[in-house]
Amino acid sequence: MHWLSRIRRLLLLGLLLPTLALAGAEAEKVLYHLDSDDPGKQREALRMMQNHINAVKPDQLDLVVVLNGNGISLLLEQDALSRRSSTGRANADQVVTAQVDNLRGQGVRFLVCQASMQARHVQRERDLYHVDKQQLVENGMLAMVHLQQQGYAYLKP
Amino acid sequence: MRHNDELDINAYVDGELTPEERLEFLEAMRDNPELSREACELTNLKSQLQLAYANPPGLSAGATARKRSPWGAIAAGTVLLTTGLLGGWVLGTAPNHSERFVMLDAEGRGQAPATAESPETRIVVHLTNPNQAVAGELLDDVEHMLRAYQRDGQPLRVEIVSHGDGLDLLRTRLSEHQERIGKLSQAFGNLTFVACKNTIDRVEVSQGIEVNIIPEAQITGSGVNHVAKRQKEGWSYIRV
Repeated sequence: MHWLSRIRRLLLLGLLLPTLALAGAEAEKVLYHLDSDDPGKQREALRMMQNHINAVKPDQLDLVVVLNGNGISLLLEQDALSRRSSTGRANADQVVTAQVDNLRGQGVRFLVCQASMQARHVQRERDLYHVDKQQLVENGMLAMVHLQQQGYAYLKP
Repeated sequence: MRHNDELDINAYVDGELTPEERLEFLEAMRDNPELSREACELTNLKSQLQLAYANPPGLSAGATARKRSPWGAIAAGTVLLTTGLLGGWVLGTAPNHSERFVMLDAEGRGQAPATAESPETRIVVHLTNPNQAVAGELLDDVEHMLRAYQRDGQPLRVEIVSHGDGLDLLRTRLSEHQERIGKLSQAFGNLTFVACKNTIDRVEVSQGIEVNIIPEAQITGSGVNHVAKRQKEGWSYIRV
């Protein structure tokens, strides 16, 4: 083989390899939207997330869940119902919180819509299961738009 | 509109208008929901006719698809119009880079302001939920967004596509938000309500009733097709 073409190949390879490595390191970005308070639907959504994580290599998935509307009931503690003036479901029982903890342990972030909380008289520390300030978004819909603009694929279980 | 509307609609649907005439027609459609409804229905009729007579030999699939769907042209025209209008408006007011919006970094806790690559944020909301309380909360969110972007001089376009059970929001007899939709449509030219013709037809046939859609809404042949098209065009998608 001619030495020039060999050098060209090496150069090409040198250019390609880091690109491939970078592409391989880039985590898949996914956004799950949850706005239902149906416990069955919520269980199914959590199961989908775990299956999704299982389907890709570790650290290859950047999974964000946005809870808005009635979906915030996923993290609403059960004794919060008696404290709130509005009615609705509170689904953060032992089974759900264990699943949420498990997903969080695998890097899943649960973001909660503040507008939906206000409409339901929900207070973060008092009513929600382990949600810190950084996991609150002013408006869930706006957050989902911004996430999509940053390359997150939208999934609604 | 100076010209005969019906002639124009036909010419528009057949793609026979010059770019200037098309722009004028699009503008007229924007101000006249009835006109846009007629254009949409005619397009729908035309596509049904084409389906009924199948693809005549010699006509490429691409050409048929283009003829069947003027939404691309409508979208392009609308985007052009909106961009122009908003551009003028943005230039007129000093842009104010507010840090109101919570931006998420890779860790989901970044607070930097939006630096959108696209000059315009475009959102298509696919509404299939019949619950009027849910629809009301959706309108709250949309209004919040429209006002925030308006305050900051950021261009935004929102389309709410009512489809399946979600059509109730746009039905005069069933919507609990008709008055609000009227007010929002009037206040925000960048907000569009779209009803799905397939759903309307299905309800009319299966229930033997006439479905009346609120006048502010536009009508598209297929809601799902419209939503899919918007996603392909790069719009953000929210399903409610």
